[in-house]
Amino acid sequence: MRTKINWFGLAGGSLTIAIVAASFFIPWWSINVEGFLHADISPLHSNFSLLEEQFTVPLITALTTVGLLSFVASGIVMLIYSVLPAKPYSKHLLGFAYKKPLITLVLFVITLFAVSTIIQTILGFSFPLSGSATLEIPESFTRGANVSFLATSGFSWLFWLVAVAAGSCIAARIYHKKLTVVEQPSKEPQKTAETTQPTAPG
Amino acid sequence: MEKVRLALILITVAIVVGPPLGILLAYQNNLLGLIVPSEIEQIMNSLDGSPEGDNQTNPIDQINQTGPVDVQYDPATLTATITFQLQNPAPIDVTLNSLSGTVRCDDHVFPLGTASLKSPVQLTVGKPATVTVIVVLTQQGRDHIQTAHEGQATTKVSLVDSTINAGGMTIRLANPISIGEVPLSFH
Repeated sequence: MRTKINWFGLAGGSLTIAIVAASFFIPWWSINVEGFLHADISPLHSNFSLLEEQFTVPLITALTTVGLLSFVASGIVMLIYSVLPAKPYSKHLLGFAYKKPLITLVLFVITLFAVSTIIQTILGFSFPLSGSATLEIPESFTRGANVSFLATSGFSWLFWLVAVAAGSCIAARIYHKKLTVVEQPSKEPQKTAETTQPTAPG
Repeated sequence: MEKVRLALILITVAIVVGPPLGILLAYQNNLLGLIVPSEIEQIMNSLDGSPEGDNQTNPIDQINQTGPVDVQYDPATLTATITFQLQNPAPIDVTLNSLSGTVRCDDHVFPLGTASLKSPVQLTVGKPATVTVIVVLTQQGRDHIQTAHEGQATTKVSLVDSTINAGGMTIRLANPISIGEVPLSFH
């Protein structure tokens, strides 16, 4: 009997584990406000520095730990599922693993947009999600002076790799249906076209 | 099969609830510390010039308070070289890249010429730095000094519409920087 493997799941699980390791060195998204602030941000690991002083935000550390553990669990479970797709419990493994990269990716993008909107609403200036822009700090914060910073931000290649991993995991879910159909062939004998088609009179 | 499903549910709950609950318990006596870490508070204190930051006032106030330490004027080229002594108020080293603005006669609110930084200056934390500004008078400025300030050894001037670039930050000042009495004479 040939061993069945869900290749999409194997690719998705491997990519997910690789992304976990890479996220410690490469941010998904980063912003640099020259000489003032630098932030390397991903849902798995984040670094911040203000005036060249590194710091961590405990709440963000807790949230990135949730993201990190979710990704690790998702990757491991997806790999286990991929080599055992025909087991009775495999659907539970797949259900646990396949959505997490996509959900994390979507939540990450929504959070970036939300933070940008909140800062724009409350503080009166917006930062670029990708590219360069001049941040104008409102005069109410600067005792009448007009203070501006050059800010540069962007998504890294790792962000797009996460999109690929999420796509592979979704493809694994779709491919699972095909694997299941092949595994349970119809027991009824197939009728030939000749026997099923009515014969024309005359 | 049910055991696998249950185990996966438990893992999900543990992952989602565990870290936030742990950090919440760790910071239960200091909930603000969850969002504003102690490092940020220290930086803000040092920027405010609070006693624990042990910092000087900002450079604009320093210029307004102490004025220039040296002024050299060359009537032939209508150029004044004004030197200031500044203390970096930021908790990090900053490079003063450029400065520009208009020098104005305070008595008559008359523009005399333009000011610019002679060369970029590195402002090191805790050390005074010498900043040299070149002021070039316009012909109208020279005429104003000769007519409106005839016989005066010095003229009280300010820098207005000034733009400063330090680090990656550009500051356009709405308020004038008082330079003080400058010996702009043609005798």
